[in-house]
Amino acid sequence: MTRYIYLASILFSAAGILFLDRRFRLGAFGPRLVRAIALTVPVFLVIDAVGAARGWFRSDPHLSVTIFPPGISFEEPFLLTFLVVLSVVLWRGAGRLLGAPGGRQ
Amino acid sequence: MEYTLAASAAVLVGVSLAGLHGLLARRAYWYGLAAFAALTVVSDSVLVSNGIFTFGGRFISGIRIGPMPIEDLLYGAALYSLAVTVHEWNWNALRKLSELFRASRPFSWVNTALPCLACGIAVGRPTAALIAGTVYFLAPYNLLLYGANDAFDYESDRRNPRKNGAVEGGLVPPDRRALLWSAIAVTNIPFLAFLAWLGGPVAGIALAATAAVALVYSVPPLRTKEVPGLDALTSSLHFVLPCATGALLAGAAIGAMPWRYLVAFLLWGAASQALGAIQDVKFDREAGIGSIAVSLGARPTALASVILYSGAAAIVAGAGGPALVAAAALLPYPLLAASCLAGDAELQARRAWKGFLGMNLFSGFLITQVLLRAWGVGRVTGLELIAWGSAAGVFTLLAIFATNRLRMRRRATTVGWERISVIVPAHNEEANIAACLRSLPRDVEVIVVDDGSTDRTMSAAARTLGPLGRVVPAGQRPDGWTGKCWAAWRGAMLASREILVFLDADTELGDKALEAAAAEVARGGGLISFLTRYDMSTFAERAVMPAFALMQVALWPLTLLPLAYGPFMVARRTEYMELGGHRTIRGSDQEDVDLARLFAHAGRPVRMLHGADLGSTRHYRSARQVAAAWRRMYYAYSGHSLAIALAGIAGLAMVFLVPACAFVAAWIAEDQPALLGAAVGLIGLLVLRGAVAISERQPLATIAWHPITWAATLWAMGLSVADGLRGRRPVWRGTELAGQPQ
Repeated sequence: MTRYIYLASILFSAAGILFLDRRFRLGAFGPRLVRAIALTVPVFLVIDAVGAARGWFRSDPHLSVTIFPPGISFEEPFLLTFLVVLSVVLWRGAGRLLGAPGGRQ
Repeated sequence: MEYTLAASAAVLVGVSLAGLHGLLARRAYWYGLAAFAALTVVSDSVLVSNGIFTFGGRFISGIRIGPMPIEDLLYGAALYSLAVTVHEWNWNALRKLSELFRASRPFSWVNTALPCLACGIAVGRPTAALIAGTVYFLAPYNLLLYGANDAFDYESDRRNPRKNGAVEGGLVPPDRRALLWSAIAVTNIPFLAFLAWLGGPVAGIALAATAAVALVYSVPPLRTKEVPGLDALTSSLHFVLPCATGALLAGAAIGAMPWRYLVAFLLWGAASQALGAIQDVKFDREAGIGSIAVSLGARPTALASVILYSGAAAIVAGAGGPALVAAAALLPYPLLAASCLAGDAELQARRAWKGFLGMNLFSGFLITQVLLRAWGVGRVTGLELIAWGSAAGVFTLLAIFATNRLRMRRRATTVGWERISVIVPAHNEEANIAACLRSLPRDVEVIVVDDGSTDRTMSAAARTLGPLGRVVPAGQRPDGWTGKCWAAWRGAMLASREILVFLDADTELGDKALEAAAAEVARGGGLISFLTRYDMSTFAERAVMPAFALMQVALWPLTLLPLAYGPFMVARRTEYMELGGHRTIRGSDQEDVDLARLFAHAGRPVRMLHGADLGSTRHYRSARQVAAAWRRMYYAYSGHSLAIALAGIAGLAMVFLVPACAFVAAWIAEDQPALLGAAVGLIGLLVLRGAVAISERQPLATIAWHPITWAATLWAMGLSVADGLRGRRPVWRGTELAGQPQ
């Protein structure tokens, strides 16, 4: 079961971010977020692919559901998506806290 | 230090992009970045100290914050900056970019990227150079290839009826050429240099050759697309060279290159280009454009195509072993080309081209299987493949459902009721018609046409409508007409207002339905129909009917085809009359579909929209009727084609039943990855069923009946195919329907 813990923690954290977005009505979820995910995740997957192939970093095959060549873990796209959502929620949250129009459009 | 450099570069790019959008001046950006960095330090440390990630010592600087290397912080900052920048982007100002995106023909990306990747993996290793090369052959290369075409052939493409508006035609108008060329330069030159550095000198030369061949096709003075023979060769090289380059990027030596297959691919591509050119021969001649088919003539070109195709198959077969399967997959192509040798070559070529596109799916599948075996992907069990395949299918459907719900949002416009005529053809609808008519607003014109009912439909309709509407008998039906068409046409002749609504008597509309319908048709004309929700009351119906709603989701891509949904259709009267309406399709037993084809052939828009919120249709009164309806319709709706009907059944079973079966099988076989795939599929299915149930206002409890729903539905569909093969006429509500129109 240890191979599923990483994926589960990512999904759990994502659920937490979703909750925060709802609780504070940040309204991060929308077409803008989808675009941010659609553009950012592939770019970083490419960086990861190059990095994994060159040996910059490595994922442990025993702690991951599966590893795709050249060494990208199954969880990587989930992690990247989560990070983009987190970025946008933090950006909007910071805007809200500062009372500036930064978080709102 | 490589990772250090890459991460620093990424941060630089990310922060400059944010700066370009004025984000650096906003405090929220920095606060968010600080919070993101803090969270990164914590979570990354947890990941690294648990060994989920490890780092290659010579690639990092060695500076760490706790267990986390500093590079990960830079990586995170780059991701945050890019995400927030894209989120804040003003997309309207970037319309031009989307034009460039389309100019690179996203549909064709896979045709160049896949050969590169597949060939690279087949003969080498998945090196960084190969991955980067695959990315290059996705977008930048296609922008170069098709962008150069657009720059020089925009005008002639526009005039070619086959290419105009199609994926093949020119997309970037002349006034944006400067932007086009700079986009080509910016995406290609640095990328090619980077690839040459990664892949070494031989790969660098191959890349340069590939780019040059992409250019000479349309750029004068060479312009090989107009040089007979060279046109087929260069356009084939556009796909063969990425393939060869992939092998080099993957580290294959020149001697270890798969020459045999590259030559076969080259011949196959040239043959295909020649086949395609035959279709355009008349146009090219008129436009004064040279091509292999123009100079050789249609029939000799077809002969050349046959020879080249046969050569490709023979060369592949020469390798023996598993390659024989691939060679077999190539055998239909020479036959396809040979069909152009007899009769009107151009007409045959158009037909053959369609066959070619279909054949590619089949051959591609077979050859992929051979390749997978050759690469030893046999380690993936069949069960895992099935489980993950069905999960992918379920999530594709979920995505389709979500995007369509978003796209189908109708704009609220008001069109006066006094402009609408509602025509209700009715045949033995005593039980339904009162509810149908009561759901209509007072100010519309209502015409009920009684199509030879033997019950009290007419009196029920007259009682409900009172003096406000008209109830007329359809009268003697002329030969060659089906009842429904005759009744609808009679109603349309009597209607006096500008918008015609054809409404089935078993359909009840909501308050907003007619306004929404009229507003849609007012926006651009054509034939608009709405998928009303299914009204269900008995338990058995609830068990079986949801399959209809899910089918609609599954078949949403079909809404791009000219299809209409009979119970609730809307059109402008002038347009309907001009095309002859139901009179033109008078013998049809699927009048909605044929009406849609009629409109589509005349170049009018045909749209089938989501309408579960607009009204409900009570088609059937028992599960028996539901099953009978599946049996009646399915084979006819698959166009009386056995292949399509069986593929449809297999596809639906794969998506709707297989996740459950695979779950049980994986449980028994203790196949962990398959179990995970099946579970993912089941969760997706649950979400999909829930979403559809809510939008169709079905009780959520029906989800539990899913296996019964689909077992019964697939069984009825199987019966439908069997009936069709035996040539049995479809029977509906006790009357045998007229034969196929055609």
